[in-house]
Amino acid sequence: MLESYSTNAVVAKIRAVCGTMLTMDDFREMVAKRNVAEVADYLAHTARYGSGLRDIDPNTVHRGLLEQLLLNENYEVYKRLCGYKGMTDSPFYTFLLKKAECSQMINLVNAISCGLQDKFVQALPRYVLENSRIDFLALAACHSIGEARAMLRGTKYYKLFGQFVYNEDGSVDFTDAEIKLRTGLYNGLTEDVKASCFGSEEKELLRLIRSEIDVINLINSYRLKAFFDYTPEEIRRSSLPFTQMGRKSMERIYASPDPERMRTVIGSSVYGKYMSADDEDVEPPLRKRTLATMKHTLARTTSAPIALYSFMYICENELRNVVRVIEGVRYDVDPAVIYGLLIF
Amino acid sequence: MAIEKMEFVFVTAARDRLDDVLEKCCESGCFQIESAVSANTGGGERTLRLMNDRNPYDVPFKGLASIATELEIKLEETPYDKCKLETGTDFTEFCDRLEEQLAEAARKRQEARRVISERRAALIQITHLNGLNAQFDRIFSCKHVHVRVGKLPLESRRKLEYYDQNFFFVPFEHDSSYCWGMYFCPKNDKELVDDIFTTLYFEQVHIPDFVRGNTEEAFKLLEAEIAEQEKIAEKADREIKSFAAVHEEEIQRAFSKLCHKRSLFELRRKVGVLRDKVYIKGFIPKKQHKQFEKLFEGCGDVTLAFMPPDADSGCTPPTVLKNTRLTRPYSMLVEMYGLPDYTGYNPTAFVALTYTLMFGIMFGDLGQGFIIFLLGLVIGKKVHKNFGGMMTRCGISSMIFGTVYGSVFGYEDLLDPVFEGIGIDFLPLHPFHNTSFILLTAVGLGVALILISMILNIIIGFREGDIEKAVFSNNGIAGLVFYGSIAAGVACSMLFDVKIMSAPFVILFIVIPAVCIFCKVPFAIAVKYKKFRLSNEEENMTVGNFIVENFFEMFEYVLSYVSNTMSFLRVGGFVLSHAGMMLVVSTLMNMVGSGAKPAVLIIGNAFVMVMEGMIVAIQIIRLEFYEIFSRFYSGNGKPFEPVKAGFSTEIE
Repeated sequence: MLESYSTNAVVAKIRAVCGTMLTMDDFREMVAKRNVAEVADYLAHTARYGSGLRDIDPNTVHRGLLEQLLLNENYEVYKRLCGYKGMTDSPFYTFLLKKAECSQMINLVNAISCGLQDKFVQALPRYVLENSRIDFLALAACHSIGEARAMLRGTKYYKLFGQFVYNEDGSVDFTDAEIKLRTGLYNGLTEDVKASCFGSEEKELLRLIRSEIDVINLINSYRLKAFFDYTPEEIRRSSLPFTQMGRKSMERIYASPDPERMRTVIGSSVYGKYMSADDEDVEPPLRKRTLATMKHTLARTTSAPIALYSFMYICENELRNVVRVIEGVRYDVDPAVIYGLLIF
Repeated sequence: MAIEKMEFVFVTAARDRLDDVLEKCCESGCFQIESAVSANTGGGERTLRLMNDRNPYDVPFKGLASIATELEIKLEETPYDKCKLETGTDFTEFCDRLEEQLAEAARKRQEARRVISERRAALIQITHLNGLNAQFDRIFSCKHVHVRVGKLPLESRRKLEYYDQNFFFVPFEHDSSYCWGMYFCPKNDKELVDDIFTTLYFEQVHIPDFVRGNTEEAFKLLEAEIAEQEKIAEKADREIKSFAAVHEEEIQRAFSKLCHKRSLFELRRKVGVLRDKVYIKGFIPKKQHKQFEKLFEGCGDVTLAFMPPDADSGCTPPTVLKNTRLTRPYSMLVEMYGLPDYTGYNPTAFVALTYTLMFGIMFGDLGQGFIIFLLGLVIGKKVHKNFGGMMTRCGISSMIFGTVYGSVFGYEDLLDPVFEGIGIDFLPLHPFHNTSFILLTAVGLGVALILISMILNIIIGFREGDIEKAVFSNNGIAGLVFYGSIAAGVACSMLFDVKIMSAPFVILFIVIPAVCIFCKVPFAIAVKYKKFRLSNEEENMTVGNFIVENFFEMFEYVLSYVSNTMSFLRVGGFVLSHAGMMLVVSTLMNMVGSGAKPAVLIIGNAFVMVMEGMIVAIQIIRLEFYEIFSRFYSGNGKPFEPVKAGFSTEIE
């Protein structure tokens, strides 16, 4: 099925595109800019984002629009890579769109619960509107989860929306909804991988996806422990039911009595490579670890879907960095502080 | 073939004579000025300070350069004897006068250009509103309808479907990111609708008040206005040009004088001042002592003190290479690498000899060498003296070796009858018949050059009093014995079947020198300071660290001996490559008809000369710099730059 994927040509193409990504020097230059217009102008002159930003006027472009354009450019790169060697036939091909749909569904549930549909529409990325089969604009017009569920009949989200738990006041339990939607996403991705790949390729892709989930679970569990003092059982319930590291190891982390102990246990796990005793938050070192894994995978793999999956993670990370720079420059944060927040 | 002897000069003068003194220094053409107050100045000069006065010529310099740009005058160095301006104020007044006369025409032109630029910007905006047939002024004067013109990101275009408010958006055209258009809504809903569009990143375009009518009419109106303003600008241009024609000579003279004055004033930054006296330090070549002294004759209150070049420890004497006529062109290569120290060794003669020799060997062809020689003569006269000089010398060398190889424009047997006639039976040396000999000779040449480089390093080391460099280093006596013994041992056993690698030979000439190289730092410290220490820098270096560090260094040295020697194989390789390429040319000649043969011969020879000539030239530079210079030459000398009050249009 994925014979056409597994060509060195596609991997070489992905690595070539990877070569156009922003370097640390680019980020150093950007954090030193005085305003968002200068950052936009700099980005418009890079090989990576130049084509997506060629029509903008850096002096007038809004920060939000700039971020949306960058997001779109990321998707365009992904589409071009998929179209390079007929990769569009495989179900795995849609993984980025599926991830984006899931995020938007989570936003939608939140927006409907809080009556903030206008904000939801404003932040809706163009590529989701254009490529998704779900009519998010029509969904945004709904006034209740039930109404939205009815509109989703015929899609996999119909069943998921039906499983949501409601609070006593009739509002949806947002945490539970998020876990169910994400579980649905990763179940779907796992099925897609199994349907599209086999052998070591399948194992490697599943390893990447599960490692990514582990990191999400670790970040969430630490936050729940540090800021909300959740019990191990509550943390377990709030976590996604997948793991690469193993259930026992995850249980040991969830069972930590306090945040400090949890940090130590995470630090001694396979994900703790970049953690140090001075870290106040676990997110940056954990994301750094995932990024390093993805970079390593991209450097050594000969499989196109694995290369594509890891490359898109690297792109997402780059975009997160760019957004941090834009926000930092916008709020006049010290360049050294902004640079310290970036993950390389 | 050494380094020009220099003298340190200390000039003392009354403060009011400073300009004259500096003028004389520039005029001499051989005085390199140094900062009068150096970093390690002694206590006696504590109160001496540098003159850091603001240059009064900076402002008029910028002003006059800007006027010249406006008048489109290309500034060139011009004799300025007739220019009466002297002080900075004179020049400033001159600039003000010019600007005043130019002001009216310049203002008219600038105003016209501003209007043109404004109208053109409006044209671009209106271009995006193609298809709007209604009158702009009528649309904007609606009483109950609120209108905004602008561009909506394509991101947001579809999102308009979501809103059910009382508005509509009219699109005109779109590019890859934006849709241009206008939206209408009742004035009562203005805030709400504006808010929606703002959240959708709608960027409003302001249509200037001067735009009238519908799009088409506005276009015509704006274009007519642009044409009219262009006429005004052209008229102002003509006025400015005639003004430029009248004043160009005067401006050129004034600017040249201003440049001179400004540069002269800049030199004051290196002049020391103490009460009413000024002090200038610098270097001159010793041979120009009398000429320099003569310049200051008659300047009663100016004192010159000549001292040895090392008189002031804060000033490093500059280096001027002293070469014979034969070797002078090769100084270009030495300068490219870096000049030697003032007390160092000038390697130009060595470079000249080895470069010419290697070029001849690698590019030996009597005919092509002659062409290179002729080209060198022409280039030396017309383009670049040194480069041309190098070409003539390399051409002659190529001719000599071409004769040895019996090669003339690729004809390898053309000289055979000549040698037969003379009775020399070991020549010509056809490369393809003597491949092993040529390659072995190349390696032999490499060994010889490396050994000579080491000997030079030893001499330089002893001159500098550096025992480590001269005796124990990999390029010192230890290295020379080690490398020379191995080379001799290998050559004797492989070529002459003489077994000299006996145990005493190995211990004496290989093991002991190797131990010396390995322990060069402690040995050098022991000889120099009569004490035991493992490192110059680290006081607490352990024996383990010392062994590990020096093991890898030793490994690198041995590797470099082998690789540097093998690197000279390319000399032999190019002999074969040249013969091979000419063989291709001759094969091609045999493939074409007799009419085309001369063309193939000429084009083939030209191609080989250009391509191979360039490659050979670059390869030899590589051999010189990497395999030879790296053994004895540091190239951290200071170039000699005599002061001059030059002409420059650059504004810092």
